[in-house]
Amino acid sequence: MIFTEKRQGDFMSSVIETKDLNLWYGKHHALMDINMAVPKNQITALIGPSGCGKSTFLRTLNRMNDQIEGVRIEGEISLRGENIKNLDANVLRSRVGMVFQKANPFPMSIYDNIAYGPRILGVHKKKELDEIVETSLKQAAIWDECKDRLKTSALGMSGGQQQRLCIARALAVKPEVLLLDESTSALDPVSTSKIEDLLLELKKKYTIIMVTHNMQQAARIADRTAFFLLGELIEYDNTEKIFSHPADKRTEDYITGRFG
Amino acid sequence: MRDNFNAELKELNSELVEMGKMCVDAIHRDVDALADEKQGDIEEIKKVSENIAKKQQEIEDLCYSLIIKEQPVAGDLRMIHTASNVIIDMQRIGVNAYDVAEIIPYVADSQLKTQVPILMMADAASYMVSKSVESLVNRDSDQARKIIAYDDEVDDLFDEVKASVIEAIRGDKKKDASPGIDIMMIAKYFERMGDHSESIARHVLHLLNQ
Ligand SMILES: Nc1ncnc2c1ncn2[C@@H]1O[C@H](COP(=O)(O)OP(=O)(O)OP(=O)(O)O)[C@@H](O)[C@H]1O
Ligand SMILES: [Mg+2]
Repeated sequence: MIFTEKRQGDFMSSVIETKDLNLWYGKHHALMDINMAVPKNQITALIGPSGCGKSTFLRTLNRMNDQIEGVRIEGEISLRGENIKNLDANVLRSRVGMVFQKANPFPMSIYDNIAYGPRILGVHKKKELDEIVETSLKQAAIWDECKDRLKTSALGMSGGQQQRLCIARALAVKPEVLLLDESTSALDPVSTSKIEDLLLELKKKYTIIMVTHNMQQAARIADRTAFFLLGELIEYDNTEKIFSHPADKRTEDYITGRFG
Repeated sequence: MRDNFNAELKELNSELVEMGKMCVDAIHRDVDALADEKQGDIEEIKKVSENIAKKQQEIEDLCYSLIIKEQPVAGDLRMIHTASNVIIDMQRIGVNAYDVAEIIPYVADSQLKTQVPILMMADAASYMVSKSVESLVNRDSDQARKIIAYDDEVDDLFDEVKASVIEAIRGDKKKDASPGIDIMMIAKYFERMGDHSESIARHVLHLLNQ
């Protein structure tokens, strides 16, 4: 891949770093020698055609591929310098939270959705939980819309609200990194832009890695953009650079829609 | 892939070529007017210059519509951005051609215009305009570089005109400096056209990441 020259070292700190990361699903080599440093308090977008390994890469970052039958992983992933292999999976997943494409609230009240993670991690005092629920919903910019119906089912919310609820749920366990896999692709433009605004706000406190098929979205909100193709990281650079002067012809072909 | 967009980019290219041709035409008309002392041509040059400005507007509109419809990125975006820039240079060349035309009546009777290499400057300017536009539509960085280097020749010609004019004013029995000053102004406008062509060539290099 085209390495990001000196910029790579310019960042004060990267939160997640992968070193020669390879992943196989049985015989299928889905990730090849991925070396990537994800900077703190930035939004990093992962783009690339369907099947290039974006979701696979995202899932390896909180070890969600571990349970899949036949998966083999080589190389190293570190979270703030610590190999994630050495972390308890539940602890890792609270530090690196995931929000999926389709909002997936649990079939319980709004309150219980948010309190779910903290309860698992041992928080049981009502006052403490109340506080977590309120701050998380506020951070996800959905508090005003649901503060009067915390005890009603989360399934009654709109798609956009459900997605922000899922973000609030991820925030409730105080993560350092938020992973989002096409989290706005099922939403209308207004709900999408609410989530984009929210992410821009959240990056002040969290590090965000998002998969998106929407080039405009990557250009709008991502600081860094990584282009994947057939399991390889082709180019990874500042977003403006990728969308104005991409270094690799394959990146150019993909983002200008002349792919294949 | 993206057939419609590709066709529109092709149209943008041919519009740029067309505008370049109009600029060359304007310069040729300057040369004819200088040589033939035909007053009528000056109105014609004004029209050509106005048409160049209209063409600029049309191409600018085309660029906007491409941006809105296609949300171009990378090379496509740079091409459209480059087009929006070079049409400003070409529009200025059109204005310069009319600036020249406006002065021509004042030097019509002067022998000076045949004694200095002013027509060579006009030739050099029209060469630079057509070649710089060619380098853009052919994405030819070598040619763009040649044009940038060629601008020095035009600057040298300007210095030659200047030296000859000074000599002529000194030698003039009636000490009449005004035709010399008018010739200098014409030379300066041709020199400016060279600068605008050089600017077009520089945009081409930037477009090509060089
Ligand atoms: N559980 C699995 N078992 C076997 N192969 C898998 C599995 N998950 C993904 N793959 C394969 O790995 C490759 C990468 O898939 P992945 O889902 O990471 O792609 P993606 O870039 O997220 O695509 P999309 O944009 O369509 O979501 C694909 O070839 C896919 O078929
Ligand atoms: Mg995916």
